[in-house]
Amino acid sequence: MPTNTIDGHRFSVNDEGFFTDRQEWSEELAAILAELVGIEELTDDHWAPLRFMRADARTTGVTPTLRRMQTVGGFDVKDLFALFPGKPAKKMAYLAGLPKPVGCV
Amino acid sequence: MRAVPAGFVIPNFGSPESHATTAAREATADGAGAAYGGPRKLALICSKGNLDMAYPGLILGNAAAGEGVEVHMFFTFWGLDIVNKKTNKNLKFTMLGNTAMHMAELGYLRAGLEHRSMPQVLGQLPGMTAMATKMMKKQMADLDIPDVPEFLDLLSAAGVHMYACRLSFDMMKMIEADLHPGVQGVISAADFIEISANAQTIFI
Amino acid sequence: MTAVVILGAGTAGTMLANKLCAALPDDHSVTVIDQNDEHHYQPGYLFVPFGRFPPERIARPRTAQLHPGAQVLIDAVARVEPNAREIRLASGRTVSYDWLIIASGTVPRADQTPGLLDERLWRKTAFDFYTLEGAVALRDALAAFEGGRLLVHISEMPIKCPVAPLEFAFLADDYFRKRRIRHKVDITYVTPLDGAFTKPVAAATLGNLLEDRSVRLAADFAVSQVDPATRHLLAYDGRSLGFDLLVTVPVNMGQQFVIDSGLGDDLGFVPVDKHTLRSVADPRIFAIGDATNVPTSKAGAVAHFEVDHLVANLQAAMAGRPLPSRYDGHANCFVESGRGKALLLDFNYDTEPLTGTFPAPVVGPLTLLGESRLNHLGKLAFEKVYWNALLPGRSLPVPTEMTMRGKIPAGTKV
Repeated sequence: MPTNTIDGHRFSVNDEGFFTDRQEWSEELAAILAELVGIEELTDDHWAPLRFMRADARTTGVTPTLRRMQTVGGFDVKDLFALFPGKPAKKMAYLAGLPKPVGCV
Repeated sequence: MRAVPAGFVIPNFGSPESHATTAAREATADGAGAAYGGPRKLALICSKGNLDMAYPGLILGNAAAGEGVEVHMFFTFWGLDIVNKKTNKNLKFTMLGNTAMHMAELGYLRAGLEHRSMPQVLGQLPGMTAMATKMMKKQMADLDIPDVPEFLDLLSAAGVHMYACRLSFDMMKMIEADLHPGVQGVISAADFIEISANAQTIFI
Repeated sequence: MTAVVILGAGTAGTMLANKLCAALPDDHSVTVIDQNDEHHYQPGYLFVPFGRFPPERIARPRTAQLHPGAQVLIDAVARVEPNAREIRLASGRTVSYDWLIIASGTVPRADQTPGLLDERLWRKTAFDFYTLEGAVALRDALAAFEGGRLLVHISEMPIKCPVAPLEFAFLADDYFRKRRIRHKVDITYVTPLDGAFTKPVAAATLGNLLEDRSVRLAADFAVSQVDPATRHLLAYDGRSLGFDLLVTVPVNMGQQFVIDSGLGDDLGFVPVDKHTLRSVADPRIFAIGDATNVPTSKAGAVAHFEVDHLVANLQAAMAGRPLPSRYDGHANCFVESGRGKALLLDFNYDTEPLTGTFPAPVVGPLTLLGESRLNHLGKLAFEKVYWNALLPGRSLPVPTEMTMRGKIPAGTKV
């Protein structure tokens, strides 16, 4: 299993690059990874969904889908596409230190 | 954007230029000459109005949007029922003509029954369409898949472009105010051919 | 002789004059002044554009609706001089009063919206149905309309009969269906309000009805002007709506003489105590009906409910006693929803329109805030009641004060 190191942080990832152990995540690390994926700065609007994802995943055991972010988290899907352009569900899961979401919706 | 260090394993999020934006793009007018440099495009033509055939388009459209693909959905003929607010809560599913309808629960009665198709004659019994529709809706709900109107809201929020087909719209004498707000306009087939330039097109 | 003068022989003025002639002693004179002798059944304006009412059915002579004991002057009012207690008329004549009641109603002022009266638009593609003339012109335009964008628009609140534009939209849906061209007409209801009605429970019901009739809703639309060249309605926030046919309710203002006399607010309505109906500017002046600024709908029903309070208060004022009667803002309203049905709204200053039955609990027979055919028949039957019972001042089996009997309070889980 590959291990990434950056700026003094170490974390294990699967072949695709997603975190395998959510405990290895920290907010400081998330901010660094955000720069790598093209988000220069994580504002409060970015942090809110990320924190929700971590909390929700702890309860359900799985990474929430975009739809769950809307129905349970109360976020607007349109905003999420604007904050995390391109592949929002994957980007958010990555920056939250969670596995890629499964499920079709 | 900070460069990824050497040896760093990171998921592929695509390059920023390759992502669909919510703003509609100008259609590229010339055909073979100019090389296309924009995001991956997907065009879905939804022509069916049965409940079971409404979902494939919606699910593919949503999945593609979630992967940064620029999605254009064209609703034509019976597919208009999917985007018509007056009909899209009541789409139905019938087993008639669908010889591949199976019931998984029958397998609990006797192993192997879950693979046997339901006899077509059953579909003509009064109430069968309503029952089959109810069953399908329950199966969808159990998998946490939203109903059609909510799915359209989700697609719209995800930036999927949706259009209604002018010809079938006029044929059915539909009223534009009845279209789901996510539908951007009633356009002709030619318009859609232009919009879907360089797109993978799927006909449902 | 104590001279009581009423300015305006419309719904309010006529009812009041008739009741005062019956209630006041012989040493009181009741004079009614109006600029013309045509009393219009205004609820009928709604039906003229669709060919449901012929124009002849709307008007009857004002004088014929008034008690024989009332003196009638057909002349326009130029100014009220409260200090001299005189009315100056357009003809030059002056009339003195001891007690004055302003019942001069509202005027649709198309001139208040820039561009609306442009000759390229007005009565060609832009119409109102708040005058008989306008309703008839609109009738011809609708008959010739073969398709396109129809806007049903309110310029500014308050307007008299705030539900009439909604009714117009519903009846337009009916009308075009009957002509089998409904799919060719795109109807949008455009309002400065944030919803279909001012009060929340009714706004939700009426909003749903708009959606059900495939009418779009453009809310929070504060019109700045109409562009005659491009045929667009423009809002202050930058929005613009194109149209092929515009049916607008122009800004409603009080009569010019109220403004010129310094007795009106910025829209020309007379500020009064909302319970006693006495003018805040002058103790000898009262106002009734659409001409006041009371914070309830401008509607005939309001004038009807106000009349008894005003009569009692006027008599008390004449005797130097404190004014006893308090108008509670009661209004009710039939809302024609098309397809042979109507809704009934019943509300006052404190209570918004609620569901339930009217006038009796359970047995009704009319349904509140819900569609029914009986309500529709009620609205049609009302025309007879208007001419034969309401105007003459006969009592109706409907309580003056709004009652909660038969109503389901807001927030009740059904």
